[in-house]
Amino acid sequence: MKVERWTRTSKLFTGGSGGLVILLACVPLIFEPDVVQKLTTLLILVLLAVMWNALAGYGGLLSVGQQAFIGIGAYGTVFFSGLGISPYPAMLLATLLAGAVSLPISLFALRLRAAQFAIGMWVIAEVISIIIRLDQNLGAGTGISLTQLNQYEPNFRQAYTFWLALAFTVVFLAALFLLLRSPLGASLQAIRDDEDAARSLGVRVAARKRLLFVLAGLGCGAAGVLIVANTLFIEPGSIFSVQWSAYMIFMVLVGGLGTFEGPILGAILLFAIQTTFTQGGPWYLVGLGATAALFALVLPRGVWGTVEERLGLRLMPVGYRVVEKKRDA
Amino acid sequence: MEAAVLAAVDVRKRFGALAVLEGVSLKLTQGEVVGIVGPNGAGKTTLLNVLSGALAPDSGSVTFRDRDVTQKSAAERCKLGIARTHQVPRPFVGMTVFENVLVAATSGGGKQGPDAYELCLQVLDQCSLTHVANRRAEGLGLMQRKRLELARALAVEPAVLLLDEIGGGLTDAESAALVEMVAGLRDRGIAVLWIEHIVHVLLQVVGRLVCMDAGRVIAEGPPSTVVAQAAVIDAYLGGKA
Repeated sequence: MKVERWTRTSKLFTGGSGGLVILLACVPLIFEPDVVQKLTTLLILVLLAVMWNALAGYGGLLSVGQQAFIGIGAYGTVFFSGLGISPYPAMLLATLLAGAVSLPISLFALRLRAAQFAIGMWVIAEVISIIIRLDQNLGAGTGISLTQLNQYEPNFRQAYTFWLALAFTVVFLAALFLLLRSPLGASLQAIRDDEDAARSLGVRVAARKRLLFVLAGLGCGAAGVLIVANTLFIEPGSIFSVQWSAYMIFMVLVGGLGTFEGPILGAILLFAIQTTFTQGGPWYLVGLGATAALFALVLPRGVWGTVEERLGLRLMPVGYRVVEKKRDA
Repeated sequence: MEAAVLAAVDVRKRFGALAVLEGVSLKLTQGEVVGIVGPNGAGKTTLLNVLSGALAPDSGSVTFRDRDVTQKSAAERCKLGIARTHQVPRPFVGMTVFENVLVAATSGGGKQGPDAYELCLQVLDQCSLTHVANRRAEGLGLMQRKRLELARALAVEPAVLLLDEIGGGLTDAESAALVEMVAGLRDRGIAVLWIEHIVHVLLQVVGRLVCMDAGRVIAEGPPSTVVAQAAVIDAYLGGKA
């Protein structure tokens, strides 16, 4: 018997993903700016879904307050740009700020369990939103534009933002992938399944949760940065909206909680629904809710979780397979 | 007498008004198998929880190799070499059987890479779980779940193994295999504390038997002596017939 991690399928798929990233990087050179903007939106959704899944699917941390970090990323960008820092470096700083803020928040939030944690995070997001509303320099409750980005010609700006979105997505997906493949990966999933049992086997639960929490803080911060770069205007009511959490939950549940590939699939699905039914108004939200409920009842493992189970398919080599040792000839 | 590898000294624990442990002291030396018997509610599992660090005692202390570990978390104690199984198995249902065992080998056991894999494969083989290694633990039946509990604890490569009713529901052949395995662990120098209702299985391997009732140790010593004591018969073996 021996342990195998890479299979032929996963090698092909991982190679294919690399190829896809290169193709995506060429998109702004070929397509119209509005296509580039749409794809930027898709990448933001992918990033958000993957980060929520990192928290919930691997750490068992169900947060409905990740919009706190989205907002910090977005407002951080405006703030640092306002200090005279060039917009794109300001975006990196804002991402780091979201990660830095997540650390002290974790000291408080990770003491809470399950539903307490979920609601606690929502409260934290609201508190941060209120603090922003009190600041006149950040537009208070009415919102603020990222005027500094207007220095770039729209086509170039759209391309730069897209490339940044692609870079963020690749970096955060790769970080999660490497984390899950590392020896820590198995212990993270163990915490998700049974925290106390994990403890009894020597897993340092608090430290592991903090790691995921900060990763998700950084990732959601990056998504916030991209949102303001993509739309050029933010206001606290929408950037700190709990609707972001609803989207994240939708994408992850439909795609497959605790699978690497599922949330990406869920993001593509949500993107498709959003672009098809933009005129739907409230019915569009009703439809989203009904779809999520339907999936929870019929396919509780989501699309990818079900595919993985039925077909025994593993595209990303984050798991372990025990196989017969091949006899040497 | 050899020095204790794990010891509890005057451990007390209450849940609200209910006193579950009323001053329990217990010693476990290297390479010794100690059985704990007693009626339901005697405090056996609570004692095991206090020893493993899952529960903090109200008073009293737990020492491991003469070091006070009363304040240490369950995770830290596991890393030191105290492993346990749960009475009601608690598998990581979303992970494969192999990955379940790997968590123990890498976290509690501190092993990495090929060393960890090798150990896990060996433990899976020892616990007859190799054929389900790639199956999600969710799909396991109760007996396989119990074996997985044992496999995970063994993958920690513990100095002390705390077993909580691992033998219930086994066939004669299976319990004979379990007894043989525990004897093998003892011969490798591992100290085993084994809570079990099935006394005749325990008697095949334990060197010492402890009988608990209502939060106290009511008898302790060589198995034959303990089983013969009137108090034990009253408390546990069905009273005066």
